[in-house]
Amino acid sequence: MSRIDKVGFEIEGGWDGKKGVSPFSDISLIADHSINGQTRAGAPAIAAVHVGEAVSKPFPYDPKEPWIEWLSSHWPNAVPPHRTNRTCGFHIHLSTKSMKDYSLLASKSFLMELKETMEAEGKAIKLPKKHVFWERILGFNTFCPLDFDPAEQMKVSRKGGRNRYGWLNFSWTLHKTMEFRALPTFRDAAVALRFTLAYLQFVEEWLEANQTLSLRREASLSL
Amino acid sequence: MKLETKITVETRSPVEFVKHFAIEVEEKGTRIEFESPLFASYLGKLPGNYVAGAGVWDGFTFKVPRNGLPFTDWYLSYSAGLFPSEGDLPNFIWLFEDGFLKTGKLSILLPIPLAPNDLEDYFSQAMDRFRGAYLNKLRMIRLSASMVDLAPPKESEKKDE
Repeated sequence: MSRIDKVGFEIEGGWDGKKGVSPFSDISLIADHSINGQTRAGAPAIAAVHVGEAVSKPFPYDPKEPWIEWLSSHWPNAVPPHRTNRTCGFHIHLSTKSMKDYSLLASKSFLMELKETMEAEGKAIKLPKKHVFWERILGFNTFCPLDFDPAEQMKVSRKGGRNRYGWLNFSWTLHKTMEFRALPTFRDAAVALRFTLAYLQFVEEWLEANQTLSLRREASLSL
Repeated sequence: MKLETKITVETRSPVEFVKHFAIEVEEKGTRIEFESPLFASYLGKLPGNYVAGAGVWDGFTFKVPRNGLPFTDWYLSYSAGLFPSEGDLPNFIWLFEDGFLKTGKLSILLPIPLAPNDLEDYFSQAMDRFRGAYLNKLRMIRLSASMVDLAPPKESEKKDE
């Protein structure tokens, strides 16, 4: 049985379609000023009919087919140079069935091992050195720095503030989720899906392997 | 009319204020275990109408007199390092239920997870404060309080005086 309860996705990018009409029947794109389409460091601007963020509903983690299909069908589809740039992020939210598992994920060892796993995945599919993936996964992107402050993130009760712009965002009070923010909006949906499956599988395996980690502190005073 | 109640708890040395304290993140939340027979004994000696086992943070008061009782609900929550900020962590309301008064033991489950570094911080803060409370010997060895009815005297009583 899986330890992940639900998953959800936020995809920033550009879509084709009719102006003024949502490209999707189930959602409307959300305006996101962090992806304003301006050229940065030589990256092409997003010149698409629709520019914004596609946000999914929470899906049960199992079965996987519904959310895999959603990702594929809602991935940015503007002409390739204009569907994404280095300002566009792909964020994955997950919730856990157990609060202990949520707390375990808020450990530095999880973050560091996840980073190693993602780097290995990037090397396995031979992403070019200049690919924006490396900038984000190594913590050099301003919207997903490798800061680590889960305790404060978990207490945030309203949107806004820089605290949530971490590599991981433990959005407990707002959404009861952990948000992985380090992936870019890849040009191809298939690549995004590969990283998504690798990430979620890693979470499952890491939680299974670390159940014996103690989250108990106790003492008796006898003076 | 003034009502005055003196409550004195004397203890031998060595004194165990907190016999056991633990914080653990479990499947359904964070459990806090607290055992203090001394504190339960102290609370048990208070007049019933001065102990309000209310279910909300703001609703509990000891009607603290001028001398001050050291173990108000706020103090104990402070002692455990668990501050009720923005409603994320409830207070020790359960502490004053009959079960604790009888056994000196408390076990509560808060429906929230704690990040590992928060768990360490809360635990360390609580231990520091418990030790601090113990080391204040005046409080630990003899706890006393005068409970004073703060209602003003009636007119008829003033004339008699």
